[in-house]
Amino acid sequence: MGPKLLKPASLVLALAMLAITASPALAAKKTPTPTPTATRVPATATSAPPTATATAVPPTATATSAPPTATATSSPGATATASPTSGATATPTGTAAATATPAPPTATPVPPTATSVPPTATPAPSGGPLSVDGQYGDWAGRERIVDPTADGNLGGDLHYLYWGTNPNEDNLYFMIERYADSATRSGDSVTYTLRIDTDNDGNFGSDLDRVVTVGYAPKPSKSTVQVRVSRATGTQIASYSGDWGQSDGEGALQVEFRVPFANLGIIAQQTIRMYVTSDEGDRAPDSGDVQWSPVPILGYPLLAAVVAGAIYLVWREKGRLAWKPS
Amino acid sequence: METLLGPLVAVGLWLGLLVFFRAHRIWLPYYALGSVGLATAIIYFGRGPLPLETWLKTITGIQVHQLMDLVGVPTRLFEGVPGALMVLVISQEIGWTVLHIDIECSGLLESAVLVGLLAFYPAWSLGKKLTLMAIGLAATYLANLARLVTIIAVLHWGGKDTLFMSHTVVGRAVFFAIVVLVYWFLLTRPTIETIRHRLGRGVVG
Repeated sequence: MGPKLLKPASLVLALAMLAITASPALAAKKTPTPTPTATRVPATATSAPPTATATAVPPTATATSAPPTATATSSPGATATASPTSGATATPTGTAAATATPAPPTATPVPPTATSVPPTATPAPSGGPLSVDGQYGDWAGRERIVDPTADGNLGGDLHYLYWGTNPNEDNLYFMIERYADSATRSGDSVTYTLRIDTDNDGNFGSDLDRVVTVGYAPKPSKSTVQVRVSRATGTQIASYSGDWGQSDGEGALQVEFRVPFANLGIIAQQTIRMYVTSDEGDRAPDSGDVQWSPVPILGYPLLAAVVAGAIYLVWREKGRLAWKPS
Repeated sequence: METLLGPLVAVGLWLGLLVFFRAHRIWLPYYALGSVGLATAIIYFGRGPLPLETWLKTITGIQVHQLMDLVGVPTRLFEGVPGALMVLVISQEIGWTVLHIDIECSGLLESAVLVGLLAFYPAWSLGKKLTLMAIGLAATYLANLARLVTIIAVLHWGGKDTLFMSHTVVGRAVFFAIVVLVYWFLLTRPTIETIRHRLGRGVVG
């Protein structure tokens, strides 16, 4: 014990910070962790049995002569199509929606779990992980914006826009809820348009940005939901459909869907902006948008570099003082 | 339980080595291994079996929400997503920005490192260590609140385009500056005083 302890102390500080910030195990968690104290909303809808089918749409622009097809995996009760397009980023590669790898058409449904990442210690959301199954209890307490009533026409008066992610999964989940309508119009169809500014520049019209169109048609005992993902400039990237909304009997208010990161052209640490409109003249939020980054804005490697630099400066100063003659 | 088996074995090994180094008065490895190990253990178990991170994120989110309410900046909390804080941005076009108080912004890393460094410092008594730990943890927590309030203030009045700058540069600069001060007053300065005292008494080594 003596003056030599000063430098080791600083060295330990540096080692500890670096070990902590650079540890892949510690960095593995990339999505919000819900609290176990949240209340769970009772489910109000039943899900259809898995009946997924897949159809392929020929590509609109391709130089290959092989029969281009698309394999699609989706949620229970879903059908999916994908339209591969030309361009470096136009090829849909979503794990939950479509891949443009030429392959024989397949009708084999794939379970909704879109990625095969092994489970980690990341706690599951309080209402369970988000899933597109016609059950809405998993949205309890999730991030959302509330839109005021009566600022849209009947049938398309937006109430909530929910969004979220699951740990270790490359999908964005959304749920849109409208205000209750009069009894005679409870089953009205509605089309929502979710605009996503993927490059976070405040402009929703570039080729990088996306438009997700959701056609929701409630039926007496089920619903039909058609989701189309397109570039803001118009090129369709993928589409999915399924029974993901409430039926007339369930109130015909809520509809949920998910979009793979790949279809949106984003990665996990990307900040995006978004807003939703209905074809009945409503918008949420009423002005501006919601800016959201599903994961930390600064990655762990850069954080480790910043921490290391700061520690080095402290260490240098500390060492100099320690050896200064008294 | 299976997932805990590996970490528990590692803890056992760590404790065994610590006992060995301490018994043989090999202080440098003892301090290095003890500090790093304890900090790592706090973070590992605080993110998994123990809800330390969730607790920190939740309480930090609530208190930042309350602080911003005092200065009239609207924010929203979500009971199902602890640490998620939605901030109203009024500059440019009015809208919302969602911030996530994750492990980095929870202060867990810095708190764990501080505890590790203090807990195994051989020169001080247990009472002094505990006192410094309490002061340090409180100061780190307050520094983190200051960081988040700064980020939100810049966002609220500066606009969404300032998100990266406010979070990565301004907020972090505020936090690191305070944390460096905390480490200086709790570790560096007392260490120098201890050494000077011992040098004055001729008790070195």
